[in-house]
Amino acid sequence: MSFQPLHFYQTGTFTIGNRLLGEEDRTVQAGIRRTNSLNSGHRACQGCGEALGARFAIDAAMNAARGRLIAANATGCLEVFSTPYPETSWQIPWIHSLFGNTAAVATGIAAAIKVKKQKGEMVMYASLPRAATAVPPISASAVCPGCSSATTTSCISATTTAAT
Amino acid sequence: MLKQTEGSHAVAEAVALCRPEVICAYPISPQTHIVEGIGEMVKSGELKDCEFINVESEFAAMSVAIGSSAGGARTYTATASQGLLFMVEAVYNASGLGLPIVMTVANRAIGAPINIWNDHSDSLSQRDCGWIQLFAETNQEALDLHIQAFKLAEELSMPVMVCMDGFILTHAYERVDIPTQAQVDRFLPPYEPRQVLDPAEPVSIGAMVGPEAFMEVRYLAHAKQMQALERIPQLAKEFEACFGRDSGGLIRGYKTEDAETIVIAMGSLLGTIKDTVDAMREAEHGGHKIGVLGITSYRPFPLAAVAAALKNCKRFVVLEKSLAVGIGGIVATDVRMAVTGMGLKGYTVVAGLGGRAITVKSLTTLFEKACREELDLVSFLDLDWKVVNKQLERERTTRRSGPAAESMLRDVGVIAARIG
Repeated sequence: MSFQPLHFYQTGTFTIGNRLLGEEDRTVQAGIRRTNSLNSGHRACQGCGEALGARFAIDAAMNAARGRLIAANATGCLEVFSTPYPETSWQIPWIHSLFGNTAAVATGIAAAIKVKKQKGEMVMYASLPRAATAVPPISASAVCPGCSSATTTSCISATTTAAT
Repeated sequence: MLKQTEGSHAVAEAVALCRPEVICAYPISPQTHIVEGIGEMVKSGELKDCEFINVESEFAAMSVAIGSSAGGARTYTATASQGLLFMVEAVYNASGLGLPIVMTVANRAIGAPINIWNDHSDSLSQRDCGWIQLFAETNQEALDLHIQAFKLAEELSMPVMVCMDGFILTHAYERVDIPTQAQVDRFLPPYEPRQVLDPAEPVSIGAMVGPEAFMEVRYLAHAKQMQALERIPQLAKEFEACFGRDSGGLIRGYKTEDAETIVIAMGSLLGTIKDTVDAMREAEHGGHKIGVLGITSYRPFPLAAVAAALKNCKRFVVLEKSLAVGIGGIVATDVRMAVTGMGLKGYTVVAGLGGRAITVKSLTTLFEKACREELDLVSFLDLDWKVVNKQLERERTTRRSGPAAESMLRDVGVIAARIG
């Protein structure tokens, strides 16, 4: 590909991205198999490690769960930069409760899903393409490199609605 | 069906009849038997389609409840005392998010000094947390209030605490009428969440809210409680139509029509007060014109209903199992607000802290003094002034007077055996 300068206006937001390019010209960040569950337009600093890490962790979980993913997010940068009311970057169901209870909240969500499935109230949602041979995780965590407020190692607990 | 059973077990059966879907619990006296009872029902298969989760703390219990309620499941937990305090951050969060969790609080004192017996310090410390708080007078009412609580919580999408006196109710075996599944199903429809974590319709729950809307969101919690003021009496009527029992409501008067003195209280203490009042009304005991007002709904506090109930009396006594250190009464402060401008004489009496027995004998003397308007503004029922004064004197004279509780126990002489 020949040299092509990128401009902010190409993305429609203030983030630098290359989603407007053809598939073959895109970087890994903008690959068409990315789920963009944490969508562009949020308020993280450009190049924020936490946003990058979160996107990869969520992509892995989304692929494993075939798109049926619910995220529980601890209080911290990620929660703040992704949601200031009334905006949200989250394209998946997402909950923020407190700083120190994310895993427990995810446990509760998983319990609710289990009962709903048992009762046959769980709708089977449209699936996204599944990545190679990923094993469905029951939780995924994203650490926040360089995040000054991250005193916990897990900022996100994700819970899957997959049957397995 | 009539059954002779423990209060905790009656509540466990009531909760099971409400078809809960997720129950998370951490044991703490005097609440433990309730969740143990439900746990047994889940294990035996008697309670189907219900996840029972043992968690590592009360903080986790409320957090799991937040997750499961946001996941669309009817959710229940129970706690008491230190456990309630340990989950406080999540208690506020549950109401802030508007999640209709139902929680039993088996009322128990708060330490230090550590004490497992009954008073109302625990749930009253959470008066501003945004949860509705209903107080049961009897085991039957505790059972009934749980069924009403799920309906109220889910209609408003706000959490409800059902408070019952630890040990006095939770551990008392008495007759209760346990409704049938069909009755409960007729009264309580399946849970339809206002908000749910659903991959088909993703929402973000718990977003940050700045000064531009924070007050409005908080006001909404107040508006919900004002709606509850309307709904609670209606629910009691609907409950009566369904179950044939008068249970719940905002307040409950007893012989208040002609009463010049009205005693106000919450919880199981009302039984002892009614017995005392019955006796004092008899001619040979002075024929006192005295009545009782029980407060069932502590939050929202029924200001108008309390004012209406007190409009014909001359004086009132708020007898409460709680102490607002540095001012006196907690419930009394709310009652005084209710009667603003009515020109009534009001007395706060702190009683029964940490399980101190409240006897008919002490109440009779107290109420007689109240009728003569000889009570102090704030007083402490059956306080052992000798022990208190001795400790105060010790602290005046000795710099290193040592731990107060231990010194006072030594003065009392019978360690941990004096509750009467």
